[in-house]
Amino acid sequence: MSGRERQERELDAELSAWVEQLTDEKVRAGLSPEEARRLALAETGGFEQVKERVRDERRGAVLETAGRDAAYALRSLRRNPGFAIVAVLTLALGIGATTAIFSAVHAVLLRPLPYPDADRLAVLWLNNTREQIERDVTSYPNFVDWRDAASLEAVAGYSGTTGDFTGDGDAEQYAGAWVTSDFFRVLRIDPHAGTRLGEEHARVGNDQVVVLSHGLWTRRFGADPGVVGRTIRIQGAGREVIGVMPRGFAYPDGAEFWLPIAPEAEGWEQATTARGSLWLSVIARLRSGASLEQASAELAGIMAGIADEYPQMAGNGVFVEPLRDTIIGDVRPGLLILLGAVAFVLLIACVNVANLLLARGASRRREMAVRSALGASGRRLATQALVESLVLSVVGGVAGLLAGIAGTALLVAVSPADLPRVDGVRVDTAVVGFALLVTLVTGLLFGIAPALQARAAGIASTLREGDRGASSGKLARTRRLLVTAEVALALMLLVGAGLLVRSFAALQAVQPGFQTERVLSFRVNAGQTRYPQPAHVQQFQQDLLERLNAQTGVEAATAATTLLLSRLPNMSPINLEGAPQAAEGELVISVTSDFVHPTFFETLRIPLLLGRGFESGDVAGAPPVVIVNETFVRRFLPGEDPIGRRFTRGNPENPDAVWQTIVGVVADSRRSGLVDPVRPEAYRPTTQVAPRSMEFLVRTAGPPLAAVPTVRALVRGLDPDMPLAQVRTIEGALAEAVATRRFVMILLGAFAALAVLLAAIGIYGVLAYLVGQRTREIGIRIALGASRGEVLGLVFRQSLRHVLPGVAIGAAGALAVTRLLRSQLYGVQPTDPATFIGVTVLLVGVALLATWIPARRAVQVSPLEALREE
Amino acid sequence: MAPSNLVPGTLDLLVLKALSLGELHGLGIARRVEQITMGAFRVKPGSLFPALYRMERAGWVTSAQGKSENRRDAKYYALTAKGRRQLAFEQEEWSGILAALALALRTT
Repeated sequence: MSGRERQERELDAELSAWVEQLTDEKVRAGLSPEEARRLALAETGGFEQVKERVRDERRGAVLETAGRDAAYALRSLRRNPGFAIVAVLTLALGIGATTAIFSAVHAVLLRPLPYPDADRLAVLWLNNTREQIERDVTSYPNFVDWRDAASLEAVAGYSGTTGDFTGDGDAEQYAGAWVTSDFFRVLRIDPHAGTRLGEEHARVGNDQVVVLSHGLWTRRFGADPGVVGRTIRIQGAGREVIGVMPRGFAYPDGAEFWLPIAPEAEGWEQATTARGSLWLSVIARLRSGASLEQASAELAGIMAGIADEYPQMAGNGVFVEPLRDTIIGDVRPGLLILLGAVAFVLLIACVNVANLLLARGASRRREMAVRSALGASGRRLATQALVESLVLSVVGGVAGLLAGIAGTALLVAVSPADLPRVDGVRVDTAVVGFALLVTLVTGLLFGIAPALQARAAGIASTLREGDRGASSGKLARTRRLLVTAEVALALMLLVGAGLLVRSFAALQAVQPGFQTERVLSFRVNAGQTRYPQPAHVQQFQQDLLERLNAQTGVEAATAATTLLLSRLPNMSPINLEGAPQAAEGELVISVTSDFVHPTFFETLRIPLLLGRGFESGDVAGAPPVVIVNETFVRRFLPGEDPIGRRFTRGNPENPDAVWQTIVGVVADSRRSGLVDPVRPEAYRPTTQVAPRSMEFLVRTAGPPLAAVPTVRALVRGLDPDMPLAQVRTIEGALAEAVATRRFVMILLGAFAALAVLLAAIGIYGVLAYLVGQRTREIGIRIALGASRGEVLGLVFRQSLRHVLPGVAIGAAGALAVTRLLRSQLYGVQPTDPATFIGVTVLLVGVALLATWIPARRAVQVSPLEALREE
Repeated sequence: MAPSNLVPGTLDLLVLKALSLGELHGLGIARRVEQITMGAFRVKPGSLFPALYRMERAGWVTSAQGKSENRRDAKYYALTAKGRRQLAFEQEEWSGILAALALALRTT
């Protein structure tokens, strides 16, 4: 029964008693009992009215007390600025860091996607068991079959591309996407202007159209509504603008324009009919009421049917992933780890503030005793201590929110460029609400121990002085427990940070297998209109390379279709002569194929292991040659001599099949990033087939970016309409690939450092207090002849008694939770002994350092003064 | 003088004074106040109980369950040491006020 209920019931009893006694009085005066009772009730008036007036009194009192307590707390904070500043700063750091991380988690992970009914959108991946790629792109024929699934309302395919825009100002390259006709219907996005891409645009003759993004429309065409219906030039060909998408729509991957895929159009034939040609991403909208599981089951059935007919698809499945998961993909574990880490920091901050309050509470024992003697109950003192804690947490929370706003800006500034939805990270009402909640919880959390202490003080003082020793012993125990907890939390954070640092170091130590330093890269596209024949393309590329090589400051220049592979490179099937045929099932082999200039391997210092490089005789018309990598040989021709073996991309039965002969083997290079496995690769010389779009790689003597203006001028000199795209350094591009890991590592490292600092402050505070308490004892020991070493030993032993259990608990806790870090680790186990030992040594070292100051004070205790005290 | 309502601020004084002669239950306090003021003041439950609540919180009075003269359950109130100090303080204050008022009334 709560206090309030009890009071209500007592009041009822009291009023009844009042009426009964009044009735008795009147009966004694000679009235009949009935008459007496009636009169008594009338004189008393309404029970409810009386009760309401008492309640008013009570409510007023509670509010008044809380107000008085809060004012008192503020005053006592002002009187004690040193304490207030340390406590508020500690809280501001904890709450600020938590708020900043939460703002990122909220924007990236929690806020819904900007599409109608976005929870029904899913990405359909080919679960490529052969290449062990769970989320692979698929082939157009697969997509056509998947479209039949009844649980899917609409299905669309897309593939990223780039487009050179000419006319209407400078030649410029933009990122865009090829999309099937249902693309916008799946996402349910209507154009801002013009019409939606539809079925009719997938037919030959109607397909020379383009849809622009709002951003591109604004930047390049001045937001002119008249652009819709006009013909603009992309890749040298005219396309009619049929629509402009609404502001902010940029799916996939920041696309600025969308082109329809017309499966029957010239040039699309191979891509849209080959079952094994994997290049298409697929997005679908589930029928309302259909679940992901239903869709998965249905697509698995469809895929089994496909495998029956096309053995090269045997064993493959469909992985249905909510669109949100695809978009936030890799960053979810990283962000959740950071959120967990920051919660640890906040807990340590709470522990420290609790410790500070306890220390202060100890010095206010006299005040508490006096107030208790004046009639304040233990409960009253505890309430007041709690109000003080809450006032402190609110002040800390306000400072923390300000720190959080600054922290959020900093977070966005240092976040990796590929962090999805990072533009939505901001401090909004949800974030402020969260900060408020954290503040209150924090206040209650660190307020518990001081409140209990105050209550004990109230009770103790009624028992008078005798209990004093026991209660201060209990206080010391609480404070030591807090130190142990703090050390345990800090150690867990340190282990996590240590593991990430080691992973990152392991990643940095990975040899990419080609020169990454001082390599500038840019892409140019020799368009159809200006360069109609392959010979023209080759001539342009050769001219550009020669001019680049002639520049001072350029060591060597080469070209390739692409140096760094995306995470999902195009893999296409080949038929290796002498190997079992595709129709027999298992041994369908896929490779990534790239065209490289003959100087590619030499320029990037990729060693040739066997056979020869590309030579001047490898020209169009000569027998097609190919160079493969080590992985190719290991996978498909183990133990055999690869030189002279041939493969074809077409049907081997076909007498017209083009056979490519392996003339050399080069060492593996990690072109798809440092983490991903090396794939089987085949290189063909650009002297035989010249792709229009090429990445030029320039090895410079000095800083590569300094060469950019020269390179631009050079390209403009050759062709003023040629835009330079993807200008970057290879080093920078590789660093970007590990940017998210780096981001998580740096933040976790910062949190761990903060945790260690707070723990050191906590240890220092408690030991300084304990040494202060034992001054008299230490003085006596010194007077009795204890040496300097013995006194130091005394203090350090005391320190270690609380630190070491914390280390043990922390290590056990770390063993339990570092598993969660696995997705972020590379080349190091979650239980890595070196990390555990290293951070333990570090933390114990810091703890001993924090002990050193109070220990020195202990040594300097003068026995005379110590005895004179008290 | 007809029985009247209390002059604001006098209720606490009268309740303290009533209790200074011994512990009483609610109606007892009301009757004692009537008695010592010769029936000039009549205390209603609507003002008495809030006042008692306030004074108990302030630590001037304490309460305990007991049996009334005709053996009914009743809550008895008694003055604490703090209450006695408060009574002395208020008596002094009111004496000063009354003397000043009497003086003022006489001069007219």
